[in-house]
Amino acid sequence: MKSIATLIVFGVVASIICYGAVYYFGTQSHRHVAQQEFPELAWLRVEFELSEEEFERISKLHYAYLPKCESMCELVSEKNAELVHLMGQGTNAEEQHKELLEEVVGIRADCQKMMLEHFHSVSQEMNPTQRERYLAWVLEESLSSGHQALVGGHHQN
Amino acid sequence: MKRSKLGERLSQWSVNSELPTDFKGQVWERIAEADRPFVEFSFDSLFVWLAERLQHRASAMAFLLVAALLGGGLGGIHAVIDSRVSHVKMAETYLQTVDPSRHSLE
Repeated sequence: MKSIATLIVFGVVASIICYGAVYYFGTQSHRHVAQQEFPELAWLRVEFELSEEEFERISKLHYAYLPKCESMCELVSEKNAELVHLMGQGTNAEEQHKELLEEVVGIRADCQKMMLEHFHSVSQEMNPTQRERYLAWVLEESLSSGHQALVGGHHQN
Repeated sequence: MKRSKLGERLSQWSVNSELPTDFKGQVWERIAEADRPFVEFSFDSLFVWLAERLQHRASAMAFLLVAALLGGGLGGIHAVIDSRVSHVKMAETYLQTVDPSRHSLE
């Protein structure tokens, strides 16, 4: 009976070791990506099978685009806050409200235009197959979230 | 009729042994045992059965192999699930860095 108990213990240990080993090696690539300085770029490289040169060019485009994107985001947030403040003042500021709303719509349109240009630039650095995949995915995701932002803004107003 | 010599010998032969006192009881027990279709299940009996089987080296090795494969299989399933979750998170991180409307959703 002792030997059977020992065998069962060995079985459990073997099971745990194999579980750990398979899990570790199975998730190694994703862990490696997550540990990079810019994990979103590392992910993009793996997902769209970018070569070294493609990845370098796309990284440069990405780094150049980020500050523009951030400044646009700040501007949109500022204008939204102004709009909300103006709404709180009631119907007296109707004209200002209209102007501000047009301004917000204009900024959002510029934002989206800049974003689409960035997607186009990035896709141009990929091979044709990956380019199609990237554009199909990124446009679907961004256009659906753009709709949500618009609807969300409408509900906020 | 003349009796043969064998016949005479046989007539002299006699059995002097005695039956056990509970002979009838033992016979009925054996009949009941033979008539029973299967043994009632219990974890003790399962463990004893397993212990008997695992006495052989080949069975023991097979047991270890099955345990290792089971662990490996479960590890593989867990890895696939975690990898998919990680993939979705990474994709969302990328989109959040390039899509201003995702920032304004927060």
